[in-house]
Amino acid sequence: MANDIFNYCVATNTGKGFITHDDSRRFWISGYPANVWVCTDCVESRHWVARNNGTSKTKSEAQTLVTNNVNAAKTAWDDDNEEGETSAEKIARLGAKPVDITLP
Amino acid sequence: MTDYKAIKGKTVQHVASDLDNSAGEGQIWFNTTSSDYKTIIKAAGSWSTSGALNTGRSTEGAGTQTAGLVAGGAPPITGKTEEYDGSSWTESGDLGTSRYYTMSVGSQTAALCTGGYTGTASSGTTETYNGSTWTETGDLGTARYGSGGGGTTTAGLVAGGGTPNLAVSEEFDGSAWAEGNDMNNGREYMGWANQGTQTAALVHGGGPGGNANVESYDGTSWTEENNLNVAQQGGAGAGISTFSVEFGGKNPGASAVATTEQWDGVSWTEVGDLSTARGDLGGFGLGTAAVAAGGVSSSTATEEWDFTSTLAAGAWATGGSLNTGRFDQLHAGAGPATAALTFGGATNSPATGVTAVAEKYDGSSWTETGDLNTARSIGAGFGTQTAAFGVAGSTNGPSGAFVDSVESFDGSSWTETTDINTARGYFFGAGTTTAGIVAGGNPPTTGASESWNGSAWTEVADLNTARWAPTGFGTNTATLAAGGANPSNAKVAVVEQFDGSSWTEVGDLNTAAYYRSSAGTTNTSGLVFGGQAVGGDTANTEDWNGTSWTEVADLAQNVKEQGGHGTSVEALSVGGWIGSVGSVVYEWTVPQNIKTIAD
Repeated sequence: MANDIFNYCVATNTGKGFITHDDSRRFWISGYPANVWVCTDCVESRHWVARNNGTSKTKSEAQTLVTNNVNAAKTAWDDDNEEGETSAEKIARLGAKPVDITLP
Repeated sequence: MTDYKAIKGKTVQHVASDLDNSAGEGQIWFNTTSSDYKTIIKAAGSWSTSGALNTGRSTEGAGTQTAGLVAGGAPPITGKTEEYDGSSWTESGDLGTSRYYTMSVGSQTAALCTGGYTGTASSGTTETYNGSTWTETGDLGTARYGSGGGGTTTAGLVAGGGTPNLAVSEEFDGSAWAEGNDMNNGREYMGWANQGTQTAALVHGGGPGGNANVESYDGTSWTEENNLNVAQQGGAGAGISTFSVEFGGKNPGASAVATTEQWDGVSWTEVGDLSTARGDLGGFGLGTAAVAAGGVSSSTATEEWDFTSTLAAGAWATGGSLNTGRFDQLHAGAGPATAALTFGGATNSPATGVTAVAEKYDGSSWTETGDLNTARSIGAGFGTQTAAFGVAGSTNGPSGAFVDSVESFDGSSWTETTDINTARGYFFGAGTTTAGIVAGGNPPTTGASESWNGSAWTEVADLNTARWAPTGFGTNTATLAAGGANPSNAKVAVVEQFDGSSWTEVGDLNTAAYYRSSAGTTNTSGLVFGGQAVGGDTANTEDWNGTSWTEVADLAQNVKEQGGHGTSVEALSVGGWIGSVGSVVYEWTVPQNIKTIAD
């Protein structure tokens, strides 16, 4: 669902043909956790959403999906500890703790 | 030597594969594989939309992309004139005689409009424009519509037209027309190079029914030139007789076309289409900066042609997804991005689910092939889809155990081969199964490098900046190491080149990050993408031209710890961490317009 600048949707990356080189050249597109995609709002990006059986979302709905996904990842990171492990060792083992994502 | 180069110039490069856009622009090179001299030309221009006409119509135009006009048109038949300033249209003084299918040339302040159809008869009326009003001047000797021409208000040319299919041409001296030599092929509804002159003109296509014929005029006689690729009538043209574009029109089936063709003085090349297909449109401007305006049916559409920055840009697209999603995998592939091999890696978080599964890519889908003997992740892979190495890494993810074992792939199965000297993970590898290199890694964080000569690993010079999770590409005598994290775990942008004996710092990446991936077969050209930067995971992509890094189009999402290979022209990002284990694949392509230089 467009907010005049961006389209927000949920779509599953089906691989080849999901995003084509022409798509990439015609409009900006960016993927986020929970299969959320944000595109420049234009005719071509609306066609892209339809072509990929995407479900349009409001910005707020899309943000909620992303935030819930990130929060779950944060919880999993917090709960994954090894005896005597330092913070640096944990980061080396798991990578940095997931950070909040704010959709454009 | 300096004097010699100044006098004689540099030698032509001899390369096994073609240069990419950034390295090849303005260069000539000799491809030793095909034994051809080659160069890159600008690939194509593109059209962009601009402000709409106030009155939609078929029409004709004159002037430039920043100071143009259209006059007359239909339906309904009108004498309306509109001036264009590069973004919008403003009405100005009408033609004295309303008509359409005229021939117009000149500038916004000195335009010539002649011939046309009034709705009841062909017109011989000629009018000149001074920037605000039209003034009638000497009539054509032969009334006509749908003609072509060129020139100015003081030295004009009109050729052909209806009814029907005239071949006669006339020259204008500022007040009167005099008959010139006939065209070879009579025609009507043609396009013409709108900035052509009375002594150097070009007309193309036309009716009835649409044709591809092209003729040039030198002030005395008409010469047939190479045909258009697409036969049409009612198209428009812009530019001069040796460099122009023609666009739009109607094909022999009378359907509107969007095609654009570029004329280089010898031949026509199809380039970027109009976004709105249409015939009987107005065209004006230059071959590098043209305007398409109006057209049937009552179109108000205006588009601008830009040929000034046309080395095509790269872009990412999704490729076929992996069967087994993974990150921290080993990866190999040389040559085209359609021949990749990805193997090992972690299949879950926190990366303890280490896999031995290997998959091959054919450009559209992945097929499982022989498993590694030892499941591993965070090692390095290099080579080709049929001759690859899987080097070291960990059998239990980041928690260790780090190994020094190496496996060799023959296209179907893996065989253990000579171990490297230092067990490690989070490093990169490059090269082939007969000439490879590995560098960097941890634990502990190291700059140690080892070179493979086909039978033994030899320690060579360390990286100047010890680092883990760098990326790298090239050969074992021309290697590039980029990014990573230093012993304090700080992400670095440092880049180093290896020449077979020592590492030298070169231009930094724009984005300091680790867990990046890359593509490149030499240390003078490549692509680095994704990773984890200071602010978090990134989709950033940077192109290396041998001297500096340029940010190019981002991946469609943040990806790190993926497999990568290919070149700066054609690359793959395979799997990786996308907030979860990824099976996503992205394909990078930079369109190139490489021309073989003929005798």
